[in-house]
Amino acid sequence: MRVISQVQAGNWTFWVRVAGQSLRRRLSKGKIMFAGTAFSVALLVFLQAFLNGVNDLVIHNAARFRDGHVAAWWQAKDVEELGALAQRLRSLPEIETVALRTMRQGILRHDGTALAPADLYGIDPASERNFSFVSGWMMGGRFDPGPGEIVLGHVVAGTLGVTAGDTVELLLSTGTSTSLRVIGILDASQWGDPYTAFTNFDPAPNDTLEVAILITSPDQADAVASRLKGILPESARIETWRGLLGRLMELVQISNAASVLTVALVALILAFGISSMTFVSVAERTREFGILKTIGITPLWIACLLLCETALLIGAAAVAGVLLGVGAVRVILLAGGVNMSGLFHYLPLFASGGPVMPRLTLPAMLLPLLAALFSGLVASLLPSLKAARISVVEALRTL
Amino acid sequence: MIYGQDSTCSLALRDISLTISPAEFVSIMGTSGSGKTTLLSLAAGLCHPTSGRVELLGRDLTGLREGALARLRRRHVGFVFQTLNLMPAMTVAQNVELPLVITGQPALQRASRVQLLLHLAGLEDKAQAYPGALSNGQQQQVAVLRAVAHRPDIIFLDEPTSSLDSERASVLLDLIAFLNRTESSTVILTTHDPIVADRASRRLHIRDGALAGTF
Repeated sequence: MRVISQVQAGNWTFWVRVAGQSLRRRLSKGKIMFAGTAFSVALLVFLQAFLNGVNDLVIHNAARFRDGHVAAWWQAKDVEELGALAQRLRSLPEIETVALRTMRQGILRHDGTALAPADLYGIDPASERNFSFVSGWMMGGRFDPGPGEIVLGHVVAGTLGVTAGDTVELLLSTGTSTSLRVIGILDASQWGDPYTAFTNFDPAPNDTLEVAILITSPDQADAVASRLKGILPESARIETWRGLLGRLMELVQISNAASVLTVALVALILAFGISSMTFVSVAERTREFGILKTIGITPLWIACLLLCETALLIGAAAVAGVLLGVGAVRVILLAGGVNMSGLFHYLPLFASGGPVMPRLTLPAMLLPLLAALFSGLVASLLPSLKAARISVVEALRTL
Repeated sequence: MIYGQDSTCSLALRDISLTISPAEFVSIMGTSGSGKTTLLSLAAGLCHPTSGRVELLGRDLTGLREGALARLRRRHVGFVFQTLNLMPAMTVAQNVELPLVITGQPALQRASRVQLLLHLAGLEDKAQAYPGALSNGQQQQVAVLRAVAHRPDIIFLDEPTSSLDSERASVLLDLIAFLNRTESSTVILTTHDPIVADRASRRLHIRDGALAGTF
């Protein structure tokens, strides 16, 4: 291209140096544009990181309702190795905590007459407390079922007409029956299964085994699922939160789209400011452009020079803005995050606990920077073309 | 050459027919508003005539687009204005270097040419200064150096000494005359000062947009 070859012939370092000198010279006007751009970019970086943190918290809390960020199910064959499996999973760096559960179906009977179907989840109460919110949904009694004990969902308890302290009989498809003491009643609606009952973790062959995993960042779910394939039996079915919490996934996507829209809006406002300031600059430098044209610089080259100056200024401001935004995020992280449970106490996904910890990602830093640069260049296009079209004779009459 | 439209139009030049030979030093003298700047602008290809033709170095400028005119000026023309010639954001050295950058000279050649020219004008110590730190006379000297840096075939100077006192004007004219002799550039200079006009080998007089004679 002719312009590029001219610039190459003309030594681009000379022009970059001159553009920097020109910006320094117009510091008082340039610093308004610089500050505005830097502040806008910093705000956007912080906002993006904060929204990432909100998404992480909401997904984390939703995952703690039951299945975690990653869950896997398979038919039990060798129950002896489950302990080692749990240890191995807990050693993975991405994994925050693991809950192992057994699942089996049975019939519960009380007083010889009342019958109710039950989905029995065998749990380790201590792990389950760390993992999910289920222990907070008790309607009476206590949560930690030991051997010979059972926690009933309120629907099952209602059907059987039992309360904490009563005894029920568990009938399994294998033909065995076991007597269990009811130690607590649970609000099963939060768990999502009205026939829920919790017993102590006691895996038997042919039980369905479930491992539910909480990870440090929801973005790592696919990677963890991939690693699980190498650890679990081949027959294991593995799901991530994207499939388990489909509705939430949609909300997260909407939130991401909204944040991109915010970036675009701020970039548009920035563009108006840059455009008007650049027009003023062109008007003030009319004679300069006239002299350059006299010396032999083509109109297109003048437009490129102005764009180069804008790119330098906006680029530097955008980088400063990113650093500022990163600094703000670090300050919030050092302060322990932002506790939003007071503000949104009516939303379980916030109120369930934990502050919002802003999370910086490469897109969170790059998107505002590139948006500022792009809007700056687009905004200075018209003023640059105006500078290029300045009549030499008229420009030289200007003092 | 007519400026303006309808009732506001004014005839800047009329019936101009002029040929200037290579390496000539020509002065065009006239009062303010006589059409000197317009004549220079036409000759340098900064604007097009309302009617007629302009040939520069054998090339018809009529109908050439702005980009083509710029490329022609870049290689073959140097221009010095009455005042405010220099790029304020560039140092003295960068101002002189500018035409060499535009014509694609390698950095080493540019540096040595700039050094030579600044030495010629006794301005080596001002190389890194900005135009604002120079006197009017020094600024005009730098403007002349910039105009000749790329060894153009022709240099146009529009009242280069009008803002200078007689001593500085004389120094500047000595520099111009020296460069005319050593670089063999054609020099066309406009002025309203007869003393300045006398420095040229050929002197033209312009009045009310028309050439009034040679003297």
